[in-house]
Amino acid sequence: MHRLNPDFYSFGERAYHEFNRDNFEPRDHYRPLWEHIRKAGQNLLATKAREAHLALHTEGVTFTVYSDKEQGIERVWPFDLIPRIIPAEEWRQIEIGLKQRVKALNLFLKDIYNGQQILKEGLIPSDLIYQGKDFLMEVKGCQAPHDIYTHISGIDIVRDEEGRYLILEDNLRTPSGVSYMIENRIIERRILPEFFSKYRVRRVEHYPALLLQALRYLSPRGKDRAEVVLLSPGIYNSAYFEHTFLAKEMGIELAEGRDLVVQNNFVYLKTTWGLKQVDVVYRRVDDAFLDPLCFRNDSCLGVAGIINAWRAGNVAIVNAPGTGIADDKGIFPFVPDMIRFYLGEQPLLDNVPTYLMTRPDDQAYVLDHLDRMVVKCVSESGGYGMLMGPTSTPALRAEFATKIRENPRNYIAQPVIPLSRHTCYLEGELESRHIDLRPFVIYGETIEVVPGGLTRVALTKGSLVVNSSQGGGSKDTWVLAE
Amino acid sequence: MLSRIANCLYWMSRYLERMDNTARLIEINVLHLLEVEDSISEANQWKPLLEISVSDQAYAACHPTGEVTAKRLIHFMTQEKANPGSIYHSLKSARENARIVRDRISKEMWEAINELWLQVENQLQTPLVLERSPAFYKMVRNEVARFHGLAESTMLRGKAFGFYELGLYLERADMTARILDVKYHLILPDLSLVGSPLDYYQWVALLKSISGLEAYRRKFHSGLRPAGVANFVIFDRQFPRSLNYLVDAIYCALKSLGSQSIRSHSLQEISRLLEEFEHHDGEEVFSHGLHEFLKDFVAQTARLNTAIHEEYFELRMNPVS
Amino acid sequence: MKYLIRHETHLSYPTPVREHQCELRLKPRQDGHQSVLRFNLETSPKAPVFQYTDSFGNEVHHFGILSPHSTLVTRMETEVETFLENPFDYLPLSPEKERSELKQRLIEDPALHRFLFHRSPMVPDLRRLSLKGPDLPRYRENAPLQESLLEAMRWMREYFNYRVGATPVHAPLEEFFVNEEGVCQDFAHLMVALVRSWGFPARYVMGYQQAAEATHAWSEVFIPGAGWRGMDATHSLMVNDTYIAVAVGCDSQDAAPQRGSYQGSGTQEGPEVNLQVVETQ
Repeated sequence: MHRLNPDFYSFGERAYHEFNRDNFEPRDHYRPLWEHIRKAGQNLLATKAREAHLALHTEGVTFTVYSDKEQGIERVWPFDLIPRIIPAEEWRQIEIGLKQRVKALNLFLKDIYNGQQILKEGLIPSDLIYQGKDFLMEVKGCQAPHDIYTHISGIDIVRDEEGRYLILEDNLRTPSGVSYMIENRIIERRILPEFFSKYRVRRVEHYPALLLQALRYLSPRGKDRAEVVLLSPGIYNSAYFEHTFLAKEMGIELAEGRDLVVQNNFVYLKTTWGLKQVDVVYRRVDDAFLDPLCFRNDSCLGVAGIINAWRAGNVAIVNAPGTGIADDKGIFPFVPDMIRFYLGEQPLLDNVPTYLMTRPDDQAYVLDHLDRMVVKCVSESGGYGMLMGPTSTPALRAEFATKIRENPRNYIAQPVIPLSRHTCYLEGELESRHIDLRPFVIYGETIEVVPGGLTRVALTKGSLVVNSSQGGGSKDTWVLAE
Repeated sequence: MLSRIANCLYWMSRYLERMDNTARLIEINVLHLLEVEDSISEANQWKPLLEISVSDQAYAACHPTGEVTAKRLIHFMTQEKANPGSIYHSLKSARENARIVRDRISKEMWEAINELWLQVENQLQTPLVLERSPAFYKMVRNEVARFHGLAESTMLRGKAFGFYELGLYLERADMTARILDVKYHLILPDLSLVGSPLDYYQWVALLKSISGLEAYRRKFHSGLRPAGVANFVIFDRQFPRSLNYLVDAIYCALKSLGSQSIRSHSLQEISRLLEEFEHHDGEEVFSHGLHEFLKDFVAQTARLNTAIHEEYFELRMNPVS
Repeated sequence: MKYLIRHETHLSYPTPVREHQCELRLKPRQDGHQSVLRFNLETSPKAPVFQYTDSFGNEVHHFGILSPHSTLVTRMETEVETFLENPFDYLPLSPEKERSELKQRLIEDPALHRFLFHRSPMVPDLRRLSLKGPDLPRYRENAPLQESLLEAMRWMREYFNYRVGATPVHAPLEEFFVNEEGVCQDFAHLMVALVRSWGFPARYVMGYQQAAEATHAWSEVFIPGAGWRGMDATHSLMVNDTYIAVAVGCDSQDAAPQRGSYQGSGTQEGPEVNLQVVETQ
């Protein structure tokens, strides 16, 4: 079991720097960019940064910070203009690792909602599944079209001190960020075309087309006759910008729960010309709120009866109901086992080392080293409900220790990985900040990974928290062509 | 198009138009009052506005004594939150609807209505001072005109535009008929008074209330005749705010939405209205009863509104495909 | 025994509602202990009725009434035959064998864990409730499970009172402890909570009883070596062929005879239930 190097504290300095080598010279693939920046000077960057901000503001590229107030606060998307560059060979390794992982996760979902072989063989403890609140027994035994459950996956990747790519987290329910990935590229291209001329960068804007194809593939009436709809919780949702963006790019209708109705076990859209049958629902509404007849009765965001229509094979739902169990943080440590069990292969991409609080050894070790751990609550997302050991107070750590002992199933811990750093242009200076990467995987007729993904930046100096809801920013991500 | 979205576009227009008309009515009244003679009481100067907007009950709820003063009425019709017909309320509703259909209207349109809302909300934090109110109403009307200008020049001519137009023209027709009905009766409560010295300013006020003074003057250089005014406001196809013009426009808007079916109730209603306008003229209406005609017209627009709701916005069972 | 059951439910809405989707769990279960001879279901307003089997093995009927309506009536009629004359028709295993058999069954059928781990306000973790009053009955390690179960039912009869209307539908179990009285749902939930706290799977059952005028609730316990066996804690009886099981679940919400979702601002009145359970030859 991975144990921490005790003198690990100054991890900020030990973190892998993506842009620079140890001698502060740029890495080979950043050299042309660096030369250009040096020649052009600080003024260029200042001007371009302002241009970028203005462009984003005019385009209305925003995100809403979720709070308890009725109206969220709309913020302009925080964008850093220095791109993150991934050489072709590095990307190839990431790509095949991701495809393997998503394939295994889907086989897991099919298994866990049907024969449950992986439980019978004892590879995953049953109580982990049956105590997981995202394991939806209501959908057990149902067939997902083409056995695909996670049509869209956002897999969070980090690099350790040696620059090794590791999987931090899987997001298999309603992963967001794609629209920002595309907007980053549009803005970068507009304000810094001269950067692009130094490289051969692979395109990303075909994501919506790729996604639409994958969605149409699921239509019960065949892909040539597919009515696809994006189901959004509405304008107060933090990702609403992305919903409108994707609906527009794919040319599909953006609907809310009340625009849909189930009649005779089919789903229909209420249009000015009458009811229009729907084949595929790309829903950005969580499982619990999807169907007030089946799940939470008080939900106004869903469509009563939609699960029954799905069960009968009359409509496809993306991502399928019940995928939450596969990105449950308690299940995360078992994904490498899934790859071995279902595919008979060794994982090509490793997990970040993870301790299960339900394992007594792990729990004891973690409680002893809380100040160097990241403790995650299994049921939360977006960076909430988390303990960042190194920056926490003893009181907070004591609180978490109690929580862990009382409800071990609800927590996992990971050693604080010094996320890799990158050069950013912030308030007139070139500074280093920690980053991660969220590539997007689309599972349709084939599994495709869009080159790059969303590089998220922890804007606060020294911080490792990259989520936009907690003050993170992002960069354009370039994957170089061979 | 989603029924809900069509509904919002239609009501965005109606609320905006309602607000615009209300602003115009109040502005004219205020300016008119600046030089009024004592023969007509303050209450009687302002009560007609309540009649036009059918807000007698709402007013009584706010002011149980029922006493009408200029100050009270202006407040009630401009910024009273409990009055669903107030400028504040109408604009708020228009803006809420616009927000929902933000990606169907152009970006400039959304920014225009959003900025107007922010300005109005800000200015109406404190009660409007009577003498300075004309400036406020003028600002409001200018911004609405700008909004419509933007719609005209930037909005795609698809179904969304059709619903936007439908709401606009229907509300305008309804309001114009009401204004004419109430105001005309103030000036000429009795047909026997025709021929008596006309109160020039009253007629001017009436025409101004529907933005028709200049247009009327351009056509009829000679003085104002009661029958002539009625004819102009109801039947003149060249005047873009006449009932006839509006009925034509509503018909075109409905047609553009594709309601070809003979079973379409909204198309039936509008066709009926069109026919009436073909077969009547000002003299006839005037002699048979202007009030009856206008009352009937208002009832017809209400029926048309219901038909539109049932046909486009409400749940219809039979699947299209 | 053979039974004819007629179950009619009236719901009314003073302000009409629309887009009403309903699910009914009214068809009695079919297993080794009972068999359905015929089943008929009608709705008013009329609607096409669809059917599926849920994850508990309950047969579910569902339909939708989209246009505005002020009442909803469902009429069900079924003929059922029950076979479990003697509820004690099994040989209890030794306690050690029971526990090892349970372990084995949990491996072979992981879905059993569901009835072990599920918790809700109706079936809470009893260790976490600070309860005043009598000590909870314990599982006796040296005796077959059956004995602990019978003892638990005796204990319940002693400390809790049954009173119609004492608690609302789907009431949290804490209320039962506070008031020391409740309805059949509460007795069933408490039995389930107790058995789960002992480490054995238990589930909630909704069904009919001979000559009853309302649906009844009881519990089923997974007795290793015997399978699922019904225990009616309200009457302190083992379930036999005078009981007709309709739906099972982890708690009362899973097994509710009717659930619905509609659009409209109105409230729902009812249900008014008309039930006849008649023994036939």
